[in-house]
This record gives sequence, structure tokens and C-alpha cells, in this order.
Amino acid sequence: MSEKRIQFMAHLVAGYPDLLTTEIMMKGIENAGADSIELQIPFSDPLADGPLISSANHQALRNAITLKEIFRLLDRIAPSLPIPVFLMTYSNIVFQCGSSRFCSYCKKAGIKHLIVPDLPFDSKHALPLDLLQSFHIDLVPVLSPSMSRQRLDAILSSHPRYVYTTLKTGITGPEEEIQNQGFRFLKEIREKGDFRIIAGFGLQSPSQIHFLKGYADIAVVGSHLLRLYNESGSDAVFDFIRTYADV
Amino acid sequence: METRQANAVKGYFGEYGGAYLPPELIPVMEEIADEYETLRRTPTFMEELQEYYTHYVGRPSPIYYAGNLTEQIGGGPVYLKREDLNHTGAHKINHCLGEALLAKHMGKMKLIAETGAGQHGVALATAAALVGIECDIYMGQIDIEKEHPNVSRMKILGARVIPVTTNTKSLKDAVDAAFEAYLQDPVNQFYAIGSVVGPHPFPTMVRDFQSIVGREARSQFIQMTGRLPDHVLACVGGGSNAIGLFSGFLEDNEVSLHGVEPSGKGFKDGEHAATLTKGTPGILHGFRSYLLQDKSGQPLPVYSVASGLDYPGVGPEHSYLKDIGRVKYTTISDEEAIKAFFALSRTEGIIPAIESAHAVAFAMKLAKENTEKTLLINLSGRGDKDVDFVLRHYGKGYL
Ligand SMILES: Cc1ncc(COP(=O)(O)O)c(C=O)c1O
Repeated sequence: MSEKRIQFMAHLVAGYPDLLTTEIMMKGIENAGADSIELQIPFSDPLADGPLISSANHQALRNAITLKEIFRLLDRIAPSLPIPVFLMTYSNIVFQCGSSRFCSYCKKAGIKHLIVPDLPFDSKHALPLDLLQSFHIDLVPVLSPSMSRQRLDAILSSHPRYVYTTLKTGITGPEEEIQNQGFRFLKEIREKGDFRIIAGFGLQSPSQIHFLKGYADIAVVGSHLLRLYNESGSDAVFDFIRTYADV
Repeated sequence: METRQANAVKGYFGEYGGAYLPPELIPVMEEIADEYETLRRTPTFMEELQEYYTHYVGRPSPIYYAGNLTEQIGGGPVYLKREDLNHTGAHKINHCLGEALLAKHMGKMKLIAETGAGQHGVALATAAALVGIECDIYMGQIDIEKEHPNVSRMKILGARVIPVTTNTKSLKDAVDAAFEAYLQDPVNQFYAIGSVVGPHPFPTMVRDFQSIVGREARSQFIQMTGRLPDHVLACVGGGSNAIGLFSGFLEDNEVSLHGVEPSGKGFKDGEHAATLTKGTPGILHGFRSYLLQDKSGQPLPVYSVASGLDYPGVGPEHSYLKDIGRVKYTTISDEEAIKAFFALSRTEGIIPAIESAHAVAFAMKLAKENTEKTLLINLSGRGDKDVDFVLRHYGKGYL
């Protein structure tokens, strides 16, 4: 495994199609060589997600998956999983649980990274930094090429360890090529400081991920893994990761 | 005044409102907010809108003293603000014209929107035809089947009606589908949200466009009766017709304001859509407001006989007005609304929208208890769209 290859982050929707599969997938993904997992807690109206991921959210919810069950799974497997789990969900899930309770659940399961795409830093109801720090949780800001440079600078001025960026203005889904705008944006962030850049949205081939070399540190693949799973099952997902990781 | 001040802070009404959005939508909403701020201070824009209100919509809509209904109730005098007489048959045209003109000024090629009963969809398709912009309307498959005449109207007006078949196949998922389409191309499209909901600036902007109703009503009522009404009532789905009328009276503390929510078949989860009555604060579709949600934060299924009231959220300004106690929010059941639907039809020869019939039903209760007090109802729409449905499901008891 080459030292400098882009790390692979696999996105999964917790409880899709059921929690047992999620557990098997998390272990299999790690085994296949992924470097981290982005686990999405399902929400009924996931505004930042495309049709495939949305419908996986809905399917998980039809199975009446609960936050408690997801954390019970994480309590059991996350601490012994050799790769980090980035927990992703929408703001209402966090606030309805209660910010500090949610953070304490994360801490108990050894979750150190949280991604909340619909929670701008300047909202009235945000996650207070001291709360996050007291639970050793790192809130990963979500960026977009179209965002104002004023907002971008305000976010980066807090020196986040990781940033999560979208490569096209749109939602998660396949895209033949990573748009140039995306590359320019990654370069721009790179020049602004020493952040671990997670880049995603629309990645669907190892060669696309290789293109990101020098621009991003971690490539997140979501919709494509879901499509592989839906069409051919979990082995197709593991094969895809293995093909990339073994290069 | 307090309400105005709260509003001044970037789209918040107290603890409610805001713009809880993924980063790619934030600049889009900021652009709309900026453009709207500029245009609402531009006399030519406001004059153009006013011209359409007068010569196209038929404003001002009259206030009508419903004498026969009053007599039948045997209580305080009931007045109707006749938004049902607007072109397209409801208050929705007031904000659709504003949104369509704004979109045109911003150089957008296409208007998109969700619709429940199809009233906002028809009004937007109308405004789009008028200003010459394409129009895509997202509508749940269930609503398409229920509201067929409105689907036909939208198609005749040149709009594309896109069926939403995901999840609950109704209004909430139509909003999701419209957001999804919006994200594909926020540069050329304009998402004209159908009520005082959604991220900033929509709750403020749609309220401003609807406030013509309250301004007219206040001066008309004083002219007719020499004084202010004692009670002002409106049904609340997202809350646009209610906020439009209330905005004219918010600062008149002697005027009681009543928002009427649908209790549907009762207060079991999934059988009503009484968000302010039964909900708790939460974040959905980019804004914070009262929300019907389960313990884990998922929106609950909702139901009302009135498709236009069938939404698990509500405009953030209503949440604020509830908390500060300026507006009282109450509920009316399907059955009570249908009773009022027939009462108004048969005493006055005015068939109301089932949505508006909720406000009429509550006014009938209130008038009976307050024989000395005057009541003003926002008759937000006419019931042409509902006649087949009402006869099929409720005709037996009345024919
Ligand atoms: C006639 C009428 N009244 C009321 C409503 C509810 O919307 P709002 O609460 O935004 O006025 C609708 C929505 O379709 C409607 O058609």
C-alpha cells in the first residue's frame, strides 16, 4: 500500500437495509482496506443527499431503526474497529436527542468525528465548541465551492482538523468527471492551511479518486457504494474498495 | 414593535426561523434575500406588483358581512375577507406574483415549487405564464390523484407536474423533491416556496407579499364598522394566509388573533396536522419551528381532510407568536370543518375551500360565545377544488 495514496472513506447509511447488514458492512469495509467510515444516522428529509442515499434513509426508517440501536451497535463494534467512524446526521436528530446527550453517546462509543451538513456555524442553535471539546468531539465543517469566501474564511479561522467538501454544487450522486471548479476549490483550501481534506460527492471509480492526489487527503464514496450494494450485494462493495486499496 | 425587531436578526423570529441548510444552498438563499431587500425598496418593482394586484388579481378583495350566517349562529357579527374572489381562487396568488416577479428580475429561467392541494401550484403556474418563465411543480402522487382538477389546470397553464412517489407521496416529500431538483441547478432555477415556511428569506418575504391582505382588511373593516374587529381568524397550514391577515392587526393589542389548525380525525399520531398545538421545536426543510416529530426527531405522518393544511411544520413566525402569546392557536376537526363548509355554502351561497372552512368553523363557535363581539375571518380560498371530494365522502349526511 503506497504511503501517499488518498485515503478511502466509505459512506454507509445505518440500518440500511438493516442493522445486521450495517455491522457486516462496517467490518467488511475495514477488512477490504478502507481507511475510515462515514456512518449516516438516517433522517426522513435529508436535504443534502441525492435520491439513492435518501431512499436508503427512508428504507432504514421504515424498519423503525432507532438512535439507541445505532449507538448500541457502535458501542459494541466501534471501539475495536481499527479505523475511525465519522458519524453523520442532520441537525434535528442531534437537537431532539439533546446536544450533550448526543455527544455523550458519541464519546461512549469512541466516536471522535461528527458531520452535520445542515448546521451552519452561525446558526442560533449550534453545537457549542466547549461542549464538543468536553466530549473530545471534532465537528467536521462541510464546505462547498459556491460558498462565500467570507464564510469559508470564518470557518477555517477556527482551525478545524478535518474539512469535508463537496465537489459539485449539487447533491450526492454519480458524476462522470470531477468538475474543474471542484479542483480549484480543493487547491484553494489547501493553500489556506493544514487541514485534512475529505472530498466527495459523485466519486465512482478508482481513477477518479487517484485524480484527487495532491488535492485531497481522503476520498469519500457514498452513492456509488450504495448502487453496487443494491445491484450486486456487499461483496461488490468490498471488491470495489479492495481494488482501490490494493493499487 | 417586538415582532419586527426579532425579525430583523437575519431571518429569526425569536428562537425560530434561520437557514439550517447544507453549504451549497446558503449562497443561493443569501442571493435571494439580498435581491429581495433591494427590490422591495425599489418603487418600480412594488408598483409593478401593485398593478398586478389591482388589475390582474382583482384587489382589493372585499370584506363581506355574512349576515345570514351570523343570524343562523345567533352570535356576534361575522365578516369575511374574500380572498376566495382573487384570480385563481385563493390567497396564494399574492405571494406567487411576488416570487415570480422576483425570479424574473434575477434572470431565472424556471420556477419550481412543491404543492399539496395544488392551490400554490396553480397560482405559481399562473404567475409563471404571466411573467413568461418555465414552471415545474412537484406534487405527491396521492395528492395528484385527489386533486385532479388542479393538476389539469397546471398543465393547461403550461407547467410540468412532476409526481413524487417517494416515502409518504404527499406534501412533505414534495418539498424534499423540490429541494433536490433545486440543488441540481440553483443558478437557473428559483424555488418559490408555497407558504411562510422554509429557510430565510422565505418566511419574511412571503409574509410581506401576503401582508396586503391585512393592510386592506384593517382599513376596510374600520371603514365599514367604524372600529377594529374584536377577533381575527385564519386557518394555519404553513401559515401564509394567517400571517397575511394577522400582520395588519399585530400591533392592535385589543384585537384577538386566532390561528386554526386541523385536528383531523383526532389527536392520535398520524391523524391530525396540528403542529403548534401538539408539536415541539425542531428543524425541518431548512428552518426551526414547531414540528410534529417523534422522540428521535423524525417528522410524524400528518393528516387532514384539507390537503393544504397537511404539513408537519409551520411558519417560524407563528411559533414565535404562539410563544409570546400574541396569537392563540386552536384546532378544528374534519367533521367540524365539513359542517362549516355546508353552513357557509347554504346560508351565504359561498363555497369555501375546506382549508378556510376550518377558520369558519372556529368562528361559529367563537361567535356563539361572544354575542357582542365582531369577528373577521380570512376566507383564504374558494371550494371549487373540493366539491367532488366533499360530495363523495360527506354528501350523505347533507343531501
Ligand atoms: C385556500 C387555502 N387556504 C389555506 C391554505 C394553507 O396554507 P397557508 O397556511 O400557508 O395559508 C391553502 C394551501 O393550499 C389553501 O389552498
